[in-house]
Amino acid sequence: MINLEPMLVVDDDPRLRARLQRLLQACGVGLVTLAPDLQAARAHARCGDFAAALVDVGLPDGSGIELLREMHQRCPQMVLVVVSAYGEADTVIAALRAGAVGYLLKERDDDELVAALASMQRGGAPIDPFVARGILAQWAQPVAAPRMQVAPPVPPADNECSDAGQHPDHLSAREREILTLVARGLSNREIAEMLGLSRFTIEDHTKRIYRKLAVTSRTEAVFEAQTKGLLG
Amino acid sequence: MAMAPRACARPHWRILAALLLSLTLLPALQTAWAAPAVQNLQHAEAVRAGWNSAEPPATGWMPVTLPDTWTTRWPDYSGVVWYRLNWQQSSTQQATALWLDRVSMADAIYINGSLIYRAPHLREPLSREQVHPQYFLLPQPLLHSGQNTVLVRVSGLAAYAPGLGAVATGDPASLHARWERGMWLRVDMRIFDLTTDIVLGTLFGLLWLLRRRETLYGWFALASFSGALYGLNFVATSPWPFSGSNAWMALHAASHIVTAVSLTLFLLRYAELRWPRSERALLAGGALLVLLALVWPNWVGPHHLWLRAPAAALMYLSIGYFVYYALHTRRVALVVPALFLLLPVAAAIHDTLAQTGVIDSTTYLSDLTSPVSLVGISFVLAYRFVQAMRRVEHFNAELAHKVDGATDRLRAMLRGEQDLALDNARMGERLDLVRDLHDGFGGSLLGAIATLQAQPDTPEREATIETLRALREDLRLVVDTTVNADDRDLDTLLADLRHRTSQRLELAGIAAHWNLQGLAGLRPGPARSLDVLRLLQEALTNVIKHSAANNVWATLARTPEGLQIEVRDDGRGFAIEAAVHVGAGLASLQARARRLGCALHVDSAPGRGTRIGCMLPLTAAGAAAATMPAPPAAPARG
Repeated sequence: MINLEPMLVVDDDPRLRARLQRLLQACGVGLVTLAPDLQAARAHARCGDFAAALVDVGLPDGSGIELLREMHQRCPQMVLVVVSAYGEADTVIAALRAGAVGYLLKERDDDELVAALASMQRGGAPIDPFVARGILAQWAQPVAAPRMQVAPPVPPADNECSDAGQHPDHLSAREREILTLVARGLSNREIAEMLGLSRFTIEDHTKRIYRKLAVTSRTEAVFEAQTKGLLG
Repeated sequence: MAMAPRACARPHWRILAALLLSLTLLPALQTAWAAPAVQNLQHAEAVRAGWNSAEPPATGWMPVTLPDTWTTRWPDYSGVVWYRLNWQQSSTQQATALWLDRVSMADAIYINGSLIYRAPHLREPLSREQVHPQYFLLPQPLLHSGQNTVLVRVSGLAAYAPGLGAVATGDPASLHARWERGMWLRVDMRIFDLTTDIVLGTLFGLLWLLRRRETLYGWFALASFSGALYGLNFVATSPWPFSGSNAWMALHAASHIVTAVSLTLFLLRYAELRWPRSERALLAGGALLVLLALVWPNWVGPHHLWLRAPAAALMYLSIGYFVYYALHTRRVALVVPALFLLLPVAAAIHDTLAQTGVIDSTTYLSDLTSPVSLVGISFVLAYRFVQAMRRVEHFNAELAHKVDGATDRLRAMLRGEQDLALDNARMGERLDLVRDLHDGFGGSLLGAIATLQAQPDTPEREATIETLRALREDLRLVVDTTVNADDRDLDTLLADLRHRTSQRLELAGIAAHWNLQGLAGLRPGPARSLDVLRLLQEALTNVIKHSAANNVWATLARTPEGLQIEVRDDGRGFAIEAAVHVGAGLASLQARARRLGCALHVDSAPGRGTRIGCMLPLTAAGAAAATMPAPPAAPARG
């Protein structure tokens, strides 16, 4: 079990704040700090103070993605979760690239959100077909140069064992397989049955994919900075 | 008057009959010249005298045989030599003519002591009488019965083969014919050559001037002009504008060099060969020799053969190589001119053999090859012209084709862009509408649900929340299909519903078993896709809410009859006859099925689970094209 306490919740809508607090309570997360905007969140957020954070994207004084990126860079071990409206695949992907390992869709039923939180407590990460499609599309069209340089396409023989650590920012064949199955609408249980894995392993994979997404994003940022002459 | 038409016709006759006559009939004519009425004077006496000698010396005469080149006897002697020839005349009444084949260089002729001809210049710049034969009808009063004497005073320079050629007296008609033939071969043909060279030089020179890139034409023009200058040596009767014969011969040698070098470069260009280093060496060598000739004409003139020998060698070498190359590559554009180039070479070989006496011929063919060369060069020009025209025509056709193709593509692209813009505009409007629905209506729904959830738990509240949730789910389907139905297959559209419903079923403790078959490539369009998804979602929601099942089997399969939709569970089931009381869910499902144009089959009994299904008709066209038209006569929504 991963400890999500103390938890920082950043949301400007008081009703949603209350709802999130209630859901966290249901998951046994009682130590919750609430913040209505970026300013308050930044004032609270110091490394070591929080084990996890739920951050809404549309905040009155800026984007929650920025806050996620800051917190991820400062404390990479923090469990960061973005709170988003449904259908905003771009927002979710951007948050994952900024370092989030999970997301909650506001419009989902309480029990579904509780299940997602529970998955994160288990060390996994939730995923939906639209997110899987977005990630596959990200890797299908490699526009950033560093990805091409650092990691050549994974050969077909590559499997989850050999790729671990070898291509830290590239999808393994297994991960790609999982994403493809999710994109087709299969549930984690179905995928686990199909691949002969436990459903928790699937969640692990999902989390690793999110991590890679964040790493790739950082590599690209460095490359971009280099090309712009910001770094030596 | 009778002569006029003949004179007019003469040049035509000559040019047309040139080859045939000279090559086939000349031996016969030669026989005719040997008529007894003509005396060939082969024996003469010669004596040297000073440049100013006005009378033949009395002593020092020595016998010679004609034709005579005096340098064989008196090497390096330049000056005047008197020749004396005698012949017997039976009657003074008989018309008698004198014919001299070649006198080198300036001459004066005396018959029985009386002057009958005097070249304009008997001292430098010497007249160049050697270029043509001489013919005189002798005045009868000067003739004696019996022995007659002709004196030929010849002024000559040792370097230019001075002397007296064949001489004959007798029948004027025969000798005139001889003279005429000589004039034709040695003068008329040469002038024809020269004119041809000037015409070709002018033509190609202008071509080159207007099109400098075609250095080929430039080199040919230069070869032609210098060839004309070279040929001038064989027709000019005075060294004008030079003050001496040496300068004239130096120019002659220089023109030979220029001709050889420019012809070589022309042949290289024509064969599309590039030898930059050899070409530079050739140009430098040629320029050096020409400079030498112009700076030291008095040395080069007498030694003109030293310059002309390498020029001739170069010319034959380049022609030889061109012929070899042409035959090697077997290109028509090269082989034909190569054959025409071979003729002058063959003629030159023939002439050399004739001169050295290897073969018995007094006709030199080199003078006759010019018309042949003209045909050759005309072919080259015509061939290149035709090739260029073909290229232009081909290019035009290709261009027209390309332009047509590009126009078609452009038209199609514009039309496509127009359609796309229209589609995008429609899509944009739809997306805007949907976004408004999602953000406004959807947001309100979420807010309402959240507000209700914060209130105390009552059955009414639960029912209201359920209704609001159903609305929210339906809204999400509307948004999804509106945004994606145009560019996604039915199985992709189903993915979100399937994933989401599986999770909800799982939370409800129901295992979902999906069976999707043949949905890839199926795009029934937004409206019908939405109805299919709604049907499926409502059926599955009913399972979650009412069935208390452990398993649900959802099937979407493309069959020959259509799209089979079935949702079956192993829940508690219900009595069909009491279905009216089961709830609004079933009625709503039936309405959805009707909208899709099919009837909903419901199969259930208490304790035996429920199975609902329908067969969605797929039109042949719709199935083939993976699209379906809008449902016919759809009943009102409700």
